[in-house]
Amino acid sequence: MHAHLKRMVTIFLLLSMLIVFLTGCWDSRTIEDQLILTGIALDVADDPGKISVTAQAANIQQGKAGSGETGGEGSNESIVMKATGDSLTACLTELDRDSSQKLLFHHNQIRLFGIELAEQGIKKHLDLIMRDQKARLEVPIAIVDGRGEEALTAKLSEMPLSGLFLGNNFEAQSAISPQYRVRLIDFVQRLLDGTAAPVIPIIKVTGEDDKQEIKMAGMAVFHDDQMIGRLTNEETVGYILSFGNVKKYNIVVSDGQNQAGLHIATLDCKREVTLRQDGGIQVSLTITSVVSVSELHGFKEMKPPELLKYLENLAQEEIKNEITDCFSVAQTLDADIFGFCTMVSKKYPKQWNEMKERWSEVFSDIDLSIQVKVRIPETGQIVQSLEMEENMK
Amino acid sequence: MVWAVIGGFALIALMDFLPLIRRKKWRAVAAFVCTFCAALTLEVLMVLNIEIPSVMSAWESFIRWLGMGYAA
Amino acid sequence: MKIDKSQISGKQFMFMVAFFLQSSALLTSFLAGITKNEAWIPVVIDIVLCIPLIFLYRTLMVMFPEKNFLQVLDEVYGPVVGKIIGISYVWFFITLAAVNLIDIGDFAKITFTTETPRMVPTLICVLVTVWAVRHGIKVISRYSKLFTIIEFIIVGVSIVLLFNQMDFTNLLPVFTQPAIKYVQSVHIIATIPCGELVIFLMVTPCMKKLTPRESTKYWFGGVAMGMIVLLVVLLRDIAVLGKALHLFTLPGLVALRLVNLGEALSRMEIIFAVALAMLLFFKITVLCYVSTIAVAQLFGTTQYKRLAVIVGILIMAYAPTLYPSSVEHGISAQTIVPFIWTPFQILLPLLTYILAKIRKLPKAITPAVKKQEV
Repeated sequence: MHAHLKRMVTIFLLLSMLIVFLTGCWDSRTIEDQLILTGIALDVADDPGKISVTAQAANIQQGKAGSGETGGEGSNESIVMKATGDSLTACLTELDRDSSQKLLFHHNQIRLFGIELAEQGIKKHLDLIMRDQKARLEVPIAIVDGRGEEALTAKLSEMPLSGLFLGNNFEAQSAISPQYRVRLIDFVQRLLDGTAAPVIPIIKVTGEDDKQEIKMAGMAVFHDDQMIGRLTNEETVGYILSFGNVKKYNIVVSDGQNQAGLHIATLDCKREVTLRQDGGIQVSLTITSVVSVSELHGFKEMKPPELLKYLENLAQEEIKNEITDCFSVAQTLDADIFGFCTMVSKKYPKQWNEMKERWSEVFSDIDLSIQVKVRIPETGQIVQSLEMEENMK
Repeated sequence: MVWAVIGGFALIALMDFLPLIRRKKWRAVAAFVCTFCAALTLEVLMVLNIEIPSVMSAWESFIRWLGMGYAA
Repeated sequence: MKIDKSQISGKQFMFMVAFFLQSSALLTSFLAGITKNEAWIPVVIDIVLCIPLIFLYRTLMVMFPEKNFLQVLDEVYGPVVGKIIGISYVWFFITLAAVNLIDIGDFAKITFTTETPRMVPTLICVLVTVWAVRHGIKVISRYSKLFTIIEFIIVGVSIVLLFNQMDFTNLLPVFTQPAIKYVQSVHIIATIPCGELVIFLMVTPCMKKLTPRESTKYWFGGVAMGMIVLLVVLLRDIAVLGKALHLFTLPGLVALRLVNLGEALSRMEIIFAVALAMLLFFKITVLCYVSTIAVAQLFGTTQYKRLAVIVGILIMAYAPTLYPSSVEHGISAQTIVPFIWTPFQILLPLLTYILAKIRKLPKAITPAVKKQEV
C-alpha cells in the first residue's frame, strides 16, 4: 500500500512537472503576435553613414487596417515597413518598437540590396543575418537596380507579395542553373575565398502603378563585397554555362538567314586547370550537352540527318561564344567570377601561395580552351519543319 | 529564489538523506553530506549572484605558467 | 566491493562506447576552428593514433575485471596516494559531466528556447538523467543500442538529403596549414572524444565475464563505429559549408538547414536537434553515472542510488561556474583543455599500467582479502 501510494505521488509530481515545463510558456509564440516577414531590403539612407531598411510582411489579418506601422504601404495582403538607422540592428529595433507584433524572420523569402549600397559594400550588413539563429542562410539575395524598397513596394499583378514572388522566381530559376539563385551562404563562401569574385543576380522594377513587373537584369559582379560591374542577361548565359549543371534552358542559334531554337535538356561542364611553363595557367572546359530542337526557321535546303549535324555544330559554336564573351567581360572587370583561382588553390596549393599576389596578372593571361560536344537525339513531335516540307515537294 | 533552492535541497535531503540515516549507512551519509554541502553552497552563491571563481580559469593560468597551451 | 550489481553484455558495452563517441560528432566547431576545411585530416590521423590508447584501456579492463578504475588506483598506488588520485578523478568525471551539460543548455538556449532560462532545460535533463542513473547501468546501456542505430540512420539520411549540395573539392587542399595546427587538432581529438572513453573503466565491474579477445573486439568495435560517424559527419559538413565551416558554432545545424529537395524536404535541422538531444543526454547520463559511482567508491559505500540525485544537482550547480560564456568555452576546448585532460586520460592510465606490471598486479584474490560490502 505504501509503495503504491509512493508510486501515485511520484506520477502526480512528474505529471505536474511535465505540464509546467513542456507547455513552453516562455518561448510561446502565437501566430497573431507575429509579422511573417516575406522580404527585406537594405538601401543607403538620406543621412550619410546610415541605412534604410524596408521589411515586407504578410498581412494575415486582412480585415484590419494596416496595423499602424511606420511608413506603412503595400496592398491588402502585405504590410511594408521602413526604418532608418546606423545598423541593421538599430533599424529592426525601430521596426519592432513601432509595431504591435514581432517580426518573424523564419519565412523570409528574399534579401535585397539597393545598387548604391552594393557599390559601397555589403559585408558589414550581413553580420546580423549570419549571427541570428532565426535568420536563414539559404535565403536568396539579389541586388535591385535602383532602391531595394522599390522591389518590396512593387504592385505585381502575378502575386501580391513581391517577396514571395522573388523567392519563387529564384527557386524556379535555380531549376535551370544553381548559379541563378545565390544564397547568402554561397555569397559568404565566395567572399571567404578571397580571390574569387562573388556574383549576385540583379533585378529591376519596371512599369507603373498597378502594372509593375520585376525582371531579371543580369548579374552584379563584386570585388570583395563591393559591386564593381555587371553582366547583362546575355553575358550571364556564358557564366551559367561555364559551371555546367544546366537544365531546361533555351538557346537560339543562327547562321545568318536560318535560325533555330534549341532546348538544352542537360549541360555538364568538366573544368580542368593546369599550370603553364611560363607561370600562367591554362583552363580547359569540356562541355557535354544533350539538346533538342524546339523551333526551326529556314533550313529549307537541308535534309534532316545533315540538319541535325549542322545544328549540333551551330550549338557548339554558340555555347563556346557565350562563354568566351562572358570571360572577356570578366577579364575586363578583372573579376574571377568563374572561380578559377579556387581551382588552382585546391590543385596546386604550393604554387598558389606565390600566384595569389599576382592573380590579376595571371587571370588576364589565362589560356581558356573550350571543347563543346552537343548531341541532338530528338526533334520534338515533328522532324521536318513546314518550310522544309514545302521545299521537298 | 534562495528559499526555493533551500526548499529543493530540503526535499532532496528528505528523499535520500533520511533513509541513509535510518539504515545507518554512515559512509553513504558522509558522501551525501559532502556532496550536499558543495551543491548547496554553489547554488546559493549563484542565486545570490555572487561570483564564483572558475576552476577552469585557474587551470588555464597554471597551464600557461607551465609554458604549455596552444595559442588562441 | 561491487557498487552496481547489474550486469551488461559486451555488445551493450560496445554500443555504449560507440554512442558516447558519436555525441562528439555534432559539436565539431572546436575542431573546424583550427584546421578549417582540413579538419578531417586530424580525425583520420587520430583513428590510427588512438589505437594504442584504446588498447591501454582495454588492457586495464582485462587486467582488473572486477574492479572499477578507482579501485585499481587504490590497488596500484596504495590506499593513500590511490585515494588522492581518486579524488582528482572524481573532479574530472564531474567536470566532464558539467561541461556536457553546458553544451545541452547552450544549444537549447541559442536555438529553440531563447527566452527560457538556461537552467530549465538543464534541470529537466539532470532530473531524467538521475532517474536513469538510479536504475543502474543496465537501463542506460539498453538506450544506447537502439539509439546508436538511429544515429547511423540519421547520419545516412542527412547525407542523402545534402548530397546535391556537397562539393567534395572543399576537402582540398591538404596540409597547407602550419604543422602546429595539425598537432593541436590531433591532440584535441585524442583527448576530447577518444580520451574521454577512460570513463568506461568505471563500468568494468558491471561487465559480464569477457575473454581478452572479446574485450578487444567490443572496445575497438565501439570506437570504430563512433569514429566513423565523427569522420563522416565532418566530411559532410566540410563538403557542404566549405570555407564557411569554421564561422559557425554549430556547423551540423547550419548544414542541415540548407537541405532543399523540393518543398517537403527542406529545413531539416530538426534532425540535428533530435540527434543532439539523444546523444548529449546519453553522454551526460553515463558521465553522471560514472561520477556517482566514483563518489560512492571514494567513500566506500554501495548506496550509489541515494547519491545520484545530489551528484546530479552538484553537476548542475557546478556547470555554470566553469566558463563565463560559450566563446570562452570553445577557446578553452581548443587551447587548454587537451593539456588538462591528458594526465587523466593518457598519463595516469599509462603509469597505472606500468606500475601494475612492475608490481605484478593484480594479485590473486582470496576470500580473506575480499573486502566486506558496506
